[in-house]
Amino acid sequence: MTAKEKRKQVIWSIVLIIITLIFMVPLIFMVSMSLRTPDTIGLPQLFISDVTFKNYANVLKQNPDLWKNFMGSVIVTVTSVALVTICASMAVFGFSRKNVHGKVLIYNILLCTLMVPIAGLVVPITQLNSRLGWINNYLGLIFPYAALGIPFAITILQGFMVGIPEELEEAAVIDGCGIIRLFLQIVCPLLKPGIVVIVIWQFLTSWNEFFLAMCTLTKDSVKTLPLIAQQYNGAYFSQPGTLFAALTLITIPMLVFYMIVQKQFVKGLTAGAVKG
Amino acid sequence: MSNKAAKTKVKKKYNIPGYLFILPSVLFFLFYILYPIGFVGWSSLFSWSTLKNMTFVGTENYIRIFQDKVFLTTMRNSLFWIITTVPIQAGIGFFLAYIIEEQLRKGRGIFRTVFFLPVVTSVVVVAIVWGKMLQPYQGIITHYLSVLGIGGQVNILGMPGTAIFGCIIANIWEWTGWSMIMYVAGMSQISEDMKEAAKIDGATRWKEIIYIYFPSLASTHKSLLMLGIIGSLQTFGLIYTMTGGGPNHASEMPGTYIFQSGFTNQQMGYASALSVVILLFALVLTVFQVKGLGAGEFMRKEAD
Repeated sequence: MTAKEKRKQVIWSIVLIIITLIFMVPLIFMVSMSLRTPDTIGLPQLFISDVTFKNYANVLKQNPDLWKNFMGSVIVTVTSVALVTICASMAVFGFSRKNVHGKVLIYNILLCTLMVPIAGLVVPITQLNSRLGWINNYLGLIFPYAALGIPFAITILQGFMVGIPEELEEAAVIDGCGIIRLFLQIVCPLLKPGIVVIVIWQFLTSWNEFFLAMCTLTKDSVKTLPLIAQQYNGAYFSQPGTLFAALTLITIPMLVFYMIVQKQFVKGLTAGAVKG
Repeated sequence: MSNKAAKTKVKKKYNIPGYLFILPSVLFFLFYILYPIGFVGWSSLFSWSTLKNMTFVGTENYIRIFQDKVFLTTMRNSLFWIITTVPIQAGIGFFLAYIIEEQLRKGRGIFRTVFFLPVVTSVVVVAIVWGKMLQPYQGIITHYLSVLGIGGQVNILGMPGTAIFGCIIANIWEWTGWSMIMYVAGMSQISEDMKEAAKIDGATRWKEIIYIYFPSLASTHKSLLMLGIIGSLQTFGLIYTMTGGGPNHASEMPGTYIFQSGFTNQQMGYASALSVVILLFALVLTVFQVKGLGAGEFMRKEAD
């Protein structure tokens, strides 16, 4: 590296660090608020000098059921992610088979629902759930999330499926490999970078979905975390310290999850033809 | 000739396992997308609050939409939303991606992660935190602005003229990281040869951005635009938590208005009609995008 280049690197790094600090203000503010005493909570400052962890103790003491809500979010998210992944990878494999007539039509119809806004379906899905008796039942969220996530997942995976050479599959068939083994042992591993992308994307969407969850889950003990955050916003109106401690607790698992998987995510995104 | 005969013979055969692999996705589509769409279309022709109590009103709900001032506000706010969030998120996202991917040698992973963290944060949490920051007197934004001498202690979310922009700022903060990561993915597809050629030709940094990067990322721009438009149609949590659509419907968006009409005011028929209008918007846009991107092409080739 020449001296000039070195200087350039330093300048770009400084520019980025400054932008990063500005960008992080809301998250820093959230944590800072959660560490304050009633005396300092009203001060319009980003940083304060004396720190207390009492707010966190309050949240955990006053909401012994918080872990249930956390588990609720985990159940809804993990199952809908699994359904989306399984159905979408099966579908793209099916689309790649010969003699599946009308597959272009099916694919295009699925594609048309790629961007169905959940806001437009909340009224009918809520009615459907109440008729099935699935109000306050996680199935009432898991199935719609999966249905709305599948088209997007299919478009992502299709990009990877096209890249798999047909000869590879033919060779597998000649070696006496059945269709299920071909799918599980040959195709799925090759789709892996795309699967990583859809798993993470669906994870984020399901974990954070709010509108349908609010109309479907009314009982406190089954509510998912976004609903709990909303509920605390009202309940702790006069105790912002406790509120922000709760928000921090709700946010941390997702941040940790993303930090662990981000490398795979970016790898998957840059590996495949992400068109949509 | 024998070849042709064999071909038609193969064509007639149906690949049953192939269909079985597609079946689960199709079932989800039928039960949770097609059926709800049909239901919402049908129920938009009634006046109702519960399924047991429905009166047929024909197109009355739709006529009401076009006379409804609040609906007009939701459309205006959506337009504001699209023309502010899409270019700003894309602009900052592009800039960040360019610095991180093309200029930086070390620490790429850290910066990529940091700027993506808001996307990972729950929208309700984002809304509460920004709501607090924008509060007059206690919030830090108004405080630091007034320290700098810009504006007094204004209640941004409490005034009809500015409420929607308070929400827009929060949205931009949340989603810029998504634009960045999409551009990161897009930039990795630009061939090194092209970048090298530009350098050899002595292109300046600006020329390189304008003539190489910008056109090469056309599909990324397009998909961010589409996602931005759809995002504006389904924005709910942010507005609901920050302003509740208020003051006096000033920051109402399609999502919050559907909720308000159907679940708060118990006018499910009207909410259904609003849903139909939103779904139609989305459908038109998606068809537009699918055509533009040429999706499904590769399969047509194979089928011939």
